[in-house]
Amino acid sequence: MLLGFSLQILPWVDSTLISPYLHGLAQVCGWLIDAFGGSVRVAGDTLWQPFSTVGVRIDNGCSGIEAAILMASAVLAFPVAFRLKVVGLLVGVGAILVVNVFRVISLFYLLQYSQQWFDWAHLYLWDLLIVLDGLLAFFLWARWARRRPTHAIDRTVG
Amino acid sequence: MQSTALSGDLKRWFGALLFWVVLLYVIWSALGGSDAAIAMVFQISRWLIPLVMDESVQSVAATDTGVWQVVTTFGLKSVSDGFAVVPISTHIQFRAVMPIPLTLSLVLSSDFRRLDRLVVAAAAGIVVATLTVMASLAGALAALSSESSNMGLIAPEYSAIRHAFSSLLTYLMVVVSPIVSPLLIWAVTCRRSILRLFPQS
Repeated sequence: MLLGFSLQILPWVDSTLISPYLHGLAQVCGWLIDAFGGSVRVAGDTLWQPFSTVGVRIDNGCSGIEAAILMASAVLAFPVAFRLKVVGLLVGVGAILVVNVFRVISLFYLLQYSQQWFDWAHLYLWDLLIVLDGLLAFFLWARWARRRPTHAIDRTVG
Repeated sequence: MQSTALSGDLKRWFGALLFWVVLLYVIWSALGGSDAAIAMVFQISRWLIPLVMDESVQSVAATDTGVWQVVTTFGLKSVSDGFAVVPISTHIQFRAVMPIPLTLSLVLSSDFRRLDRLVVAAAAGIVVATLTVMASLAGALAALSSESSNMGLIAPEYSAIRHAFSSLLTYLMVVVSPIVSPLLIWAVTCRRSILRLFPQS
């Protein structure tokens, strides 16, 4: 976990992996908003309200990357066979990234409606939902993996 | 094949978690939990920060706007006996205490009758919040140090390692900790309850 977070803030990692991911995330959100009849202008990692200077910028803390690193760490540390961990990584990290798309889109619309509600959702609600989503995905996967016949030998716990 | 759906202990636990999350967040908002927690963190910080960071910090004080002002030891070239002041914004204060209701919800979801665990978790939440504020300050001081000549300050030069460490610490505590610390505190205080959520082999 510490390794993942430490790597994330390296300038090379930020420019090569993180920034393109944030730009791609903004594009996906913009495409979804357009597909469902909304109006948005995407520039880099920011979703802009059309003909406006108001926008939502996707930054560290709102990218889902931190929660994904935490999920990946938990999956990799869990004592099951490696191929089951691969499933856990796909399912767990996927669950977080999908929910994060909804976070960005909801914040984009909330900002148009009310700054107060935007702040509440941004600072309180969505971090909570991401954590709950990650917890549920992890426990569901862990229970599934432990019931598979090829899981690693259990460690005795005190 | 055994069911892998949400069942048994896991369903009960997740239901309990949702119940406590809603209840605690409502109570936290209604009773001004953030303000009370921030006040506690301030009382600890104004004593602890000058003690731990004595080479860089003289004092910590609150203002009417809620912003904390940290008087540093960085002198001003333009003003004799003047020192740089670093603000700790209300945003940082709020972000530091924000994970506390989730932490308490997780602990209560495991066993709401264990008030001792709740007290430990609440105390740990305040400690983490204080560390978050200190980490944010450490990052700000490192940034000031690197820009001291441009800003007309007389400040010690931090080594590259110290800069990198300050940046990492600030990132971990301000960005990562709000997500990670509730889970870590829960794991430490309720380990046996968490293990019961996994099927036995």
